[in-house]
Amino acid sequence: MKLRFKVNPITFFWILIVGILVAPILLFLLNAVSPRSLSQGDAWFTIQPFRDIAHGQFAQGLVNSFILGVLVALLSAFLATIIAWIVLRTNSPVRKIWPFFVFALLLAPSYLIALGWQRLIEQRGVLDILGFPSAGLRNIFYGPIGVFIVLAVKGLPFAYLVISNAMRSLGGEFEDAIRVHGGSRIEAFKTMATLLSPAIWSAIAIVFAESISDFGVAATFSSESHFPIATYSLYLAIENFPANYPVGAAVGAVLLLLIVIALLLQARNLRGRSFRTLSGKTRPFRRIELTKRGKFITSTIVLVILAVTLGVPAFGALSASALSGVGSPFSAHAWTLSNYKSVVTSATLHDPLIFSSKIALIVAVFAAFLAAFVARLLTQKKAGVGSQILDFILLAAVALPGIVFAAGYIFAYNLPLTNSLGIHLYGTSALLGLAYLAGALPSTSRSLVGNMSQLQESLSEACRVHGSNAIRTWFDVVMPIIAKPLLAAFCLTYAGTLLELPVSQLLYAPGQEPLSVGIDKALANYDYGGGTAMEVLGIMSALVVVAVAYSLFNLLAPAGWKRIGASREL
Amino acid sequence: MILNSKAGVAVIAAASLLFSVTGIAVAGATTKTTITIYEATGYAADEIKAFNTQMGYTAVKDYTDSTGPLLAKVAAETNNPQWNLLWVDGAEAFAFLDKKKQLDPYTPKGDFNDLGKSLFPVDHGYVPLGASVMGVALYNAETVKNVPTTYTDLLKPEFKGKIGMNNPAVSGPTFPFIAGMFDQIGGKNSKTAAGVAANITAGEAFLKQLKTTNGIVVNDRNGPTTHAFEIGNISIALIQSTAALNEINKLAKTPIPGVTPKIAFLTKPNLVTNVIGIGASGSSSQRQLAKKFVDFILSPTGQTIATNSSDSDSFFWPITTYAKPKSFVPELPDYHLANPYAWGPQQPAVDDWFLQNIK
Repeated sequence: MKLRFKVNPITFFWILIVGILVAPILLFLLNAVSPRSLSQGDAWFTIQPFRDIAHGQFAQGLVNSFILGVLVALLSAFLATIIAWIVLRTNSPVRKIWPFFVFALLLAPSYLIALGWQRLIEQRGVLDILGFPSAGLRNIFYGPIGVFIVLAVKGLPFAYLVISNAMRSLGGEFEDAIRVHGGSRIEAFKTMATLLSPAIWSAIAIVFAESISDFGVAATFSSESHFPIATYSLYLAIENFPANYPVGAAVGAVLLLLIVIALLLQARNLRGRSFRTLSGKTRPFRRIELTKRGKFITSTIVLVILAVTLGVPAFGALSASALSGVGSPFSAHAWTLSNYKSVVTSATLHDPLIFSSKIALIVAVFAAFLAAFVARLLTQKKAGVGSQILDFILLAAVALPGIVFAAGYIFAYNLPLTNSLGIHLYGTSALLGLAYLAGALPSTSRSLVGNMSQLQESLSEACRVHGSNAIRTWFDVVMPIIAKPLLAAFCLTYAGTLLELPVSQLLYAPGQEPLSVGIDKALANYDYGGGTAMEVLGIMSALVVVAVAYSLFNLLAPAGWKRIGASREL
Repeated sequence: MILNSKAGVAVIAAASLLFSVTGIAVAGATTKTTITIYEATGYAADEIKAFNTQMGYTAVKDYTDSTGPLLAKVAAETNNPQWNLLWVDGAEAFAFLDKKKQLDPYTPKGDFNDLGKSLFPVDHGYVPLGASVMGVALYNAETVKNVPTTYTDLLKPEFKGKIGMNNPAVSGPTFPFIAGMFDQIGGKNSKTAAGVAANITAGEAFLKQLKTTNGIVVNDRNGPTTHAFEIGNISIALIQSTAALNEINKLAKTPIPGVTPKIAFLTKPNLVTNVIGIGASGSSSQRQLAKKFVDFILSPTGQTIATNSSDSDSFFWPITTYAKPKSFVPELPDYHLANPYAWGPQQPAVDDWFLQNIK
């Protein structure tokens, strides 16, 4: 019999997706029920790891994470609805500055926000140095309240983006009808909130998933205040001695289950009810003209939220980086740039920034390109089962805790089988880059799907019929549609990778520490000045790269690329 | 071969991705033999730098972390070890690895003093590099009037909330401390399994009592525990002698009002061996290179680097005849040495118990 091989590149693509997205996660979770199959225990099938996490610190961590997740989700959705109303429905002066800050919030990793707070309120921290007693604040913050506030800060932008998008699509006729019939402004707001229920439920589900998945706050406030939360328990299970992968996997599986339940509950709440507000008759809303008092109150609300979410941690980081002796009981304190000088002159401090900048650039370029191709596959007219599976994988991966993802990589790429296949990536920066890429791909590709779905196949077909080759067709037809969101995806991936924590912490290669690991080590050695200067320089470098990328785009991109994508620009 | 445009873009994406990955991997590749060291020793970076300079290339790649995470990494890599050398405090972990045949025994070159000779295991499964003691009570003489001299003294009500120690799941020298403390509290012969079990039972009961009555504060490593001491959160820090000496030096240079650090020993302090072990899994050339590095550390040049370093880990008692401890390091006190081969296999269970009950 003659064997015929059909080389199908899509198969190759799927091997890649399975290799970087599916296999690591499944192999890690398999530990929870079959440790022996991965040489992590004696049992081929067991539920003992789940029994082990049903008591003690693991159970406490899961319960704390669940309660915090619910509270944070509710608060974030509540605040986001109010802010969206102020920004989108009124003429409050703050509406012009909020959109900028919401993206700053989205980009700021939770561990940097937590570290900003810590530098302010710790013993001999910035507040102590400036003469403000901080013991009371410290007692409040080092525990569930601190964890709650930082998680809420991180949840707010997610909730805002979901709710504000829905509010933009909601016509003004509903509020007008209530007001015309004598309803108060509060009643109009209540009705609007009801009509926004789908978005609010989505926001709650997303923020809940984000909160219980977060590792940054777990590695900072949670660990130092001995207030256990699930992601840190998972980290301890696999990073402390004795490492217990089955237990870590069981915690990861429960976290995933909680996320799935949240998404299912959201779907159940919306089933059978109609929230259809968009129609051909949808009328644009009219901005509410606020009185001076109204403007003052709304501005104060938003500015206070901004001060707590961004202002305080930014001040904490900036002041700590510009003060000598923060956190130390020794010597006098003075304003200085010596911490920045240390970062510039000390290889230990600046090498992580340089390394992360390089790898973030590589990852962002490949993530943007790969995301464009994935989005194209997902929006093909003849999308089959494969596209649906890919869509599900990406959706699931978006909600996956970064720490579970990183643990999966340790596992999958250090298996003897992996090595016997000739894949020697464990312990290399290449694997770290792949993990970054896999982590960024789901959100970047899904963010392009909307634009890509606007593209009609006939445009490409017409282009090809008229003699254009595949590559030129891509640049002439597809790129104008996705150029701007692609640029945004590049920038988000760059900034996200540069400052990423859990994957970096678990997968960095010997001698090549990423920025977050470098910061963590500097802070662990009580070099608060050097560590915070690294933080500030890292954020500044990300802003510079984003500015350069947009400037180059404006300077070099064809006019069509700038024009068509403009309406969907972030 | 079917290659439509959809497939084309996919293959370009996948191929370019693989290129980049391979590119990153190949860029770091070299034909010369290299080894990876997992270490948690403060002056290791100086030794590695000097050795690499002598070799003329980056022969030793450094992966530094706390002992606990390193041991967890070693355990996770059991089927496919990525390390060629492990260099941390505490012989117990090495004895455990030696029992599991994960170490390549080696007798290094060097002229060893009596202390050094006594610390080599019979099969030379691992190599001792220096010694310190743990269970040193660094106390603030201005607030601690009745200095504790035994473990049971720590249970006195006046020390409530004032005692701090390290987490053995993270800190290398803390498991030898706990093993020695359990030995001394239990008082049974730990050469037998029954003796070890009895000592563990007694020791765990003591630590639980200490937690319940005086609420011992647990930090990950020497650094955070001494920091808690400096800022007044605790008055007695049960830490390693190297860290305690460092704290005394530091505060002599830049005093903190209200803090006068002094050292006391609780019963007999427990000896902590700083150890390096050669992984059995590397290639022959890698194991040769690893042995060369071990010889370098124990050579006069390597010992000078070790004792000249400003890192507090260099405040140890040397085990070679040609290395001298720093001038301010006192005579080695009468110490207790827990049997690494008896206690090593107990480390995972004891650390786990500590995490669940004391931390």
